[in-house]
Amino acid sequence: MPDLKGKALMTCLDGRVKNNKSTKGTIMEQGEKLVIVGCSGAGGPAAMMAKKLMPNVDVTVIRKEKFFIVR
Amino acid sequence: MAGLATPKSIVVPDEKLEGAGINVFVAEVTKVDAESKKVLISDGKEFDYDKLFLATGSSSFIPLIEGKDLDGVMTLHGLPDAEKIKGFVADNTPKKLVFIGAGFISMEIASLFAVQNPGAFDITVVEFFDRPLPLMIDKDMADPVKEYLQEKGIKILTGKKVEKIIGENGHVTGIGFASGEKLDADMAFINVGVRPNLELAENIGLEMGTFGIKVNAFQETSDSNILAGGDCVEKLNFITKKPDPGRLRGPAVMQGRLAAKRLAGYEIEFPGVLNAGGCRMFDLVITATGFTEEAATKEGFETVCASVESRSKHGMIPGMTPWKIKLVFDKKTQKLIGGQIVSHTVSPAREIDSITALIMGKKTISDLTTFMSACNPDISSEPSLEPITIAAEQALQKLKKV
Repeated sequence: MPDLKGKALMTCLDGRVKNNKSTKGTIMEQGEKLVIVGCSGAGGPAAMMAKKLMPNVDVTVIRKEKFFIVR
Repeated sequence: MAGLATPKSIVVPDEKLEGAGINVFVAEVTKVDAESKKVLISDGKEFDYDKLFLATGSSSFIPLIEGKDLDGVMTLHGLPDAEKIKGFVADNTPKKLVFIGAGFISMEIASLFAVQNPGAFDITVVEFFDRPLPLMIDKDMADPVKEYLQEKGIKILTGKKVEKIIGENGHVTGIGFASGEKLDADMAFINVGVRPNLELAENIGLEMGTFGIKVNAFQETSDSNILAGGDCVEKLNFITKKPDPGRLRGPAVMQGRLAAKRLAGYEIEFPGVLNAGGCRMFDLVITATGFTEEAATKEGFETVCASVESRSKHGMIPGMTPWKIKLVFDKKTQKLIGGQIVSHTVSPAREIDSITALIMGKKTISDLTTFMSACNPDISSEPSLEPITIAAEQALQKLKKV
């Protein structure tokens, strides 16, 4: 797990990385595959946001439950 | 449970995901091979991944007490649980309902039974602590809530430790307390919290924290290709930066989006949780954020607190209802660290989001004395009686007296 302590964040005002040294290997490239396990509180929003920001990444959601209560 | 929403409407619909170009599979993931970056599902199908996001959630925690498996012992975490409760009530027509634990889910379900079927049930809520909603509000805020609910016909027994659930022929017949007392019951509802679903993450060998999968502020786990978020991960408290057991949907949604942003090249950190939440019982709305006075003291803070009675509208406007706010400050730094609201209408209770924003902005007592709210005779108290500023003024005077 990357240690965030003392790391100088080189980000644009909108939060995108200006100097991606710290995120090397993290940013997904076109055609790569993101698999999401679970689709309730975190999984669904992660899938939707991933597809919105990275339309050329292949996003797959695998959910076990048919239903969750939404709180 | 209230019947206000259809089952389909309370989940992220698969059509919405598929319409956005997302592949959806309803299946159980049986194994993740982190070395070869493959996910295996129950029918044997394999999925390759470059990045994996784990959002395996949590499950209701049922304590290991005698009688927990009896027919008529219910819990509520997912829709199948709600359908099971409704089915049991329809088939067995229970009269005596006992709710174990006075957390917000128990309290909401208890009040729903009372609202939807007036007089049909004998409802009792049993709580180990000295008040209902002990994790949300302090005793001085909870006492009027308890009184209100008792006026509505819900019995609330506090300071009671449930030792066992009593049954006959496989069915619930009562609750046994550690004191030796017993309470008759036809149905027992247990909601004393949830536990993270960690089996998959443990099998992968991800680093664990006290309350779930250990992640950094970008939702990254100990495996550089696996991120995680929601109920299955350990979150840090925004104020103390210490691991926090809270598991609520709001932070889960934010963590899911943050993980996606991280993968898209953003570097936005999760700020930590304040466990902001709310519940409604009859026409009473209760919201809270940050630490209660009691929790803050347990965390080692010396606190300065202030409570203010307010109005939903200007005093001369018909339909005005009372509401009450309590603010908790850290005496040393004078920073706001918690807030609680009890209201008879919904809109004042939403002021809790202002309190959350003020905590996250690290505002102090002095800052809050100049807080300016949007006022209108029909939607707020008079500007001179705005309760956040009044509470801050009270806290300021308390500091002066010391």
